Amino acid sequence: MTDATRLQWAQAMVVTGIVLYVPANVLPVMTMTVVGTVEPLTVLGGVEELYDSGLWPMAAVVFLASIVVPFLKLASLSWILLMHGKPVLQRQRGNLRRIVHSIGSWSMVDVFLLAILAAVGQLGALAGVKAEPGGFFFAAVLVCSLLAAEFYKPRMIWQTTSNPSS
Amino acid sequence: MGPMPRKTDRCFLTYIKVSVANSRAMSTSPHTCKGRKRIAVKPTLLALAIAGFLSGQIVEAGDNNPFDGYSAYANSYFLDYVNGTSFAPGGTSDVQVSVTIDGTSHTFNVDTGSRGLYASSTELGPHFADPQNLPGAYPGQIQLTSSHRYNSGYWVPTTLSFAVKDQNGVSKTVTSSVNILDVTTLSAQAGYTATYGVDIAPTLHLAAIWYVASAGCLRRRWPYVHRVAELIEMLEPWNLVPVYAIATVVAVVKLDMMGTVDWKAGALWILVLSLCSLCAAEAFDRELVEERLEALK
Repeated sequence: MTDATRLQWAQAMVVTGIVLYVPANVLPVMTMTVVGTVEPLTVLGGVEELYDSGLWPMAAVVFLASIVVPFLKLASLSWILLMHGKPVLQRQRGNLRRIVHSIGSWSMVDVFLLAILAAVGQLGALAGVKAEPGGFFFAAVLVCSLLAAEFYKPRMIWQTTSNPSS
Repeated sequence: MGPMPRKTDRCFLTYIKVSVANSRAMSTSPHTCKGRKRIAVKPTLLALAIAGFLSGQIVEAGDNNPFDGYSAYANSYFLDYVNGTSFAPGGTSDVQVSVTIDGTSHTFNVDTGSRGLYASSTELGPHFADPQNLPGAYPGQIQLTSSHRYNSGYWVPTTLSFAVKDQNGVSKTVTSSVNILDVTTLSAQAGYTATYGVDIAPTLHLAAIWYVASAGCLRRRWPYVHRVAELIEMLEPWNLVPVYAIATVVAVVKLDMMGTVDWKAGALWILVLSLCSLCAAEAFDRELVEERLEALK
């Protein structure tokens, strides 16, 4: 795969991720039924529920992992890709890409959480958890950002328009 | 001029220099070399992590379900539905049957997708609250293949009576001694995403780090070591064990709101594996290992 193709794929993945980010946060990711009360929960709604239950450390972890990290990752990758080919701030871009690469997978917390709750939280008539389409969009956003970071190799940051192979 | 080495790179380079200096300065026996002793700790930790990971994956061995291989008797009976008038397409009510358990009559919903009747312990009464101490009880489990759930507990010999009809439509009561599974633990099989991120990718990632790090420590150019080093970088973001551990903690907190959740030994292994994975990924530097391997040429 050439670097030009890698760049195109990375751009495509980031744009797809940004588009999917909207339904991922607007649509409910799960529906919790507790003693007959059906409650659809978005990603942010899940955080609010944990916070309201007094579990603010958990709420903070999920908020950081599910809201802040995906947003920062998409924003950072967008900036890095927009700056591609320009001979400025290359060291900063390299550092940012390294940070994005290392923290990116933490946003999968919500996907695993959904998987565990949907699998285990089937307690008959008393309570149940059902996965909703928002969860699919959320997972797709994460996969897109992971792939974008994978396509855009660190060495490509040092390429300039005048000397693409440098 | 190439980019300046990062702080961790500098530390690791210093460490390698110290190791080499130790190798030269101390005795010729590699086992007494201080540097080598330090290096050998990493593969050992990784090996322990892999072993722990594999141990954590093993579920209770043996599915001693007494109904496996069961073949029906020649005489068939038909269970009467006690509310069976609305059993039709579009009907929303569950069909129910009446069962007498050890002399006490109960009415249960029929779970048609399951392998039998499923009843809450609160319906069955305090007799089944402590199954391991009941006469004739022994451990067992059932896997429900459609929902990927495991029910673990104790098989308890119980006398059941069913209100049935025979082939001629004559009502009668059939009594039999059968084993019922008193479920004490409910668990679930992870989905494909979890299987890849928690089972396959971490195993490959840790095994690949172990392979490359061992080659570096033992100063051997093992086959495909450079390819394996590339694989490590590719797999690193997919090693999701630490993420899974956090998600498990949050899930347990949420599930604890609905019912009682107990921690088991597997959770400790997941925690150890998560810490080892994080340390291994943080300590591993492909460029430095490759430099070391190149120096052997």
